[in-house]
Amino acid sequence: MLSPKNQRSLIVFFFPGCVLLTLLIGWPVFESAFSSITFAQQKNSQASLFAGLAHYKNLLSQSSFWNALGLAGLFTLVTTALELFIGLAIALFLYFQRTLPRIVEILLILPMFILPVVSGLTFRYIYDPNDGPLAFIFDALGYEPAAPLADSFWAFWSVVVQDIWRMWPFLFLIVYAGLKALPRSAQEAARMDGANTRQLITHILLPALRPTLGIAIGLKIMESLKVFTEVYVMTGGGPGESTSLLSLYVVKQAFHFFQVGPASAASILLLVLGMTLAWSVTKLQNRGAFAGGTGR
Amino acid sequence: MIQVQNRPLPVYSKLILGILLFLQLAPVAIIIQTAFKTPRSLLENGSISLQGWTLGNFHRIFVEQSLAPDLLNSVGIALGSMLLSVCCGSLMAFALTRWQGNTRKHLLTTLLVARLLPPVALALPLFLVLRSLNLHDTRTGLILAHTALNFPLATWILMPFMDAVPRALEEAASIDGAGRVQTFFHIVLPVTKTGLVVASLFCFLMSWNDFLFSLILAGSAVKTAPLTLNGYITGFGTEWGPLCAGACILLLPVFALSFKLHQHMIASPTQGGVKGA
Repeated sequence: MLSPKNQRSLIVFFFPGCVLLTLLIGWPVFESAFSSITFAQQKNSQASLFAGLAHYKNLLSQSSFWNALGLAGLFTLVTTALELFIGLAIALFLYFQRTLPRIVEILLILPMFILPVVSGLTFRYIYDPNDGPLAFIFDALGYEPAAPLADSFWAFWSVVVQDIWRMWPFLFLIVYAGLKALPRSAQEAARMDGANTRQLITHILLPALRPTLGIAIGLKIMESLKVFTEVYVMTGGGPGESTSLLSLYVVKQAFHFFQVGPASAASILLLVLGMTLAWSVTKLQNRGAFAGGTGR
Repeated sequence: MIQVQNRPLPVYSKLILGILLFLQLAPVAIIIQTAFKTPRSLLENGSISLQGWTLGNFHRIFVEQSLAPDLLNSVGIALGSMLLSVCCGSLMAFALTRWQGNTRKHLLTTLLVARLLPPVALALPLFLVLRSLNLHDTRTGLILAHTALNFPLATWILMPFMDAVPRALEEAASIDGAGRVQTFFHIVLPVTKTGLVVASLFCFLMSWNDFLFSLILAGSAVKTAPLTLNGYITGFGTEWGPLCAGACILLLPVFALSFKLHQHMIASPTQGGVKGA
């Protein structure tokens, strides 16, 4: 269609983008890969000492790393499962209703657009044992005001509640769009044959939705891996290490303890994990679903 | 089916919707309510009374605590990163939809993976690079860091729009003697205005929402508003009034743009299957 000369003229268009990708992703990743296999430079010597896999071994021997990994896994599992259930239920519920006014739909999904820092601070306020609304309710009911964020068990679940409030609309939007795109003919045929709503959902809608659900789950897992700000603002990873997800662990290693070696190793591991997941999500086709995002 | 859809909502549906709306909006309402209360009425919290409504908290954050410079930083950095990302992103998106070489697939995958990567994984790498460029704790550094996230996003959003531009338009322009670059600026960009607006909005908000990069790559000489807001929490107790007032200011652009964001979010999952890459 286009002559080779025409194709070559496109290189000009690629140039700025490739510079950005190299400068802002390629070089940083190379740099941290490098510092993950070397010991930090001494003040007076130019040469870096090759460390081999020492930093990785160091990392894998820390119980706090495994704790962080486990918490990230649990967080991902719980929030993905609950949010998918809620999002799916509400999408199905709305699917069988009259179309909602747009403003209602926007208000329903509004938390999704809210800044992570504001969402985290809001829930910190809600849970605040002195001034917060939750303490007020407890007080009014005659209970001792609770401080869930100071409790090593409840802190994690308080963070989960925050994430559910914020992120179920994300899954809802994907599922709802998938539902609306389904052809009506099979449903009408099933109705003719006397299927009730429950049968319609389990036998027609859910099987047809499977690809959409796969994408939704994949994207949500990626989103869970990104969670940092909300948790940092609410608990700072504490009390103890009870909410120290992998992302918080990496930041703490690098910027509180200045352990550039192990922290680089952790960043690289996180990158590899993220890239593997991202790559498998891309295999799920339907690339348009990635155009949006939550502005994190 | 169609008749069912036109019936008015039954009572139980309205009830469920009401509860959902309450759950989703109550935290936002709490923030707004607290922002407009005096410290005294804050102590008798929970009750929604019209007494004690005040603009005092806003006065405090702007006059006594000077949130304004940090807000300006936030806006400037978001605009800078938005411009850089959308300019380079539109070129890249255009080239990717026209390119037929083998590298195309690899570039697409690279972009998509970059778009989905957790920012935390890039935080320390970017820190190392910005430090060696002497750009740590500068506005330029933050603009670049945000662009690392925004550029793949902008390219990805723009690609379906670029793909939708009829090739005949370009061919006509080239017959008239216009070069590739001329065609791009005079023909392609004007027709993809909608896409450029959407990409700009998403990039602006991504930058505006960022906390992590401001925390790690800046924070002493250059502060952004989200960071300052978190700084209102102190070990000696937190003044929630000013904090919520600041949160309201930060939420303004989000509320203003939510209509447009929603529009794109409901369009993109269905749109992509046909077009996109």
